Amino acid sequence: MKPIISVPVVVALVYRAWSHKSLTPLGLGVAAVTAVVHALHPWSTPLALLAVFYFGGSRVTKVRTTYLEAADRGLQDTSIH
Amino acid sequence: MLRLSSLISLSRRNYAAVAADTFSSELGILSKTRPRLITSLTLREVPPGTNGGVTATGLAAGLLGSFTVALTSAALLPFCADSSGLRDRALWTGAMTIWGLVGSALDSVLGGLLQASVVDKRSGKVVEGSGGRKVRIIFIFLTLGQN
Repeated sequence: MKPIISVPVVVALVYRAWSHKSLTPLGLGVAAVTAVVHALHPWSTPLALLAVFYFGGSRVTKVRTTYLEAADRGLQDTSIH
Repeated sequence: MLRLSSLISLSRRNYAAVAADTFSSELGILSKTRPRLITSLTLREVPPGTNGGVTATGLAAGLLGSFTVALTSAALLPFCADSSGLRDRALWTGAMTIWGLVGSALDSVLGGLLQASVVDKRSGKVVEGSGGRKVRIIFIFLTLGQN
C-alpha cells in the first residue's frame, strides 16, 4: 500500500494498542511488525483486514468483560451469605 | 471465477476464520445455554469454557465475525474483469462467511480433541492459567495422625 496512507494507519494502530494497554510489550512489538508486513502488499486489503479484525476483536472483548463484570457485581449485591 | 494471488487468498481466509473464532469465543461465553462438546458423538453438555465446547450463540457470533472480514474483503479486493458485479461479490461474501465459521469450528474440534480442560471441582468451572497457560495441578497428600 502507498506509504503515505499505510504509515499513518500503522502508527495509529500501534498507538491505539499501546494506549489501551491491551498488549504486552512483546505483543506490541510483534503486532507492529505484523502491521508493517501487512502494509507492504500493494493492495489495501491485508492491512484493512488486520484493522477490521483488531477493532472487531477489541469490541467483542469489551462487550464480554463489561457483561461479565456486571453479572458478577449483580451476584455480589444480591447474594446473602 | 475469482482468481486472486494465493497469498491474498490465504490471508482473507485466515482472517475470516480468526475473526469467527475470536467473536465466538468472546461472545459465546455469554450464552445462557450450556455448551456442547463438538467432538462428542452425543454432543454432551460441558462446563462453559471447555475447549471444544460450542453454543448456538457462539456459532452465531462466529458468523458475525467472519461476515465483517468477508464484507471488508469483498468491498476492497479488486476482482477480475469477468466477475466484479455486485451479485458475485454478495455470493463471495456469503461463502467466505460460512468458510470462516468452518475454520472456527475446526479450531473447536482440535481443541476438543487435543486440549485438556481443567475443571475446578469445587465450583465446576473451567480454569486456565494467565495467557491461556495450563494450570499446574498439584496433588495434595493428606498426612494422617501427625500434628
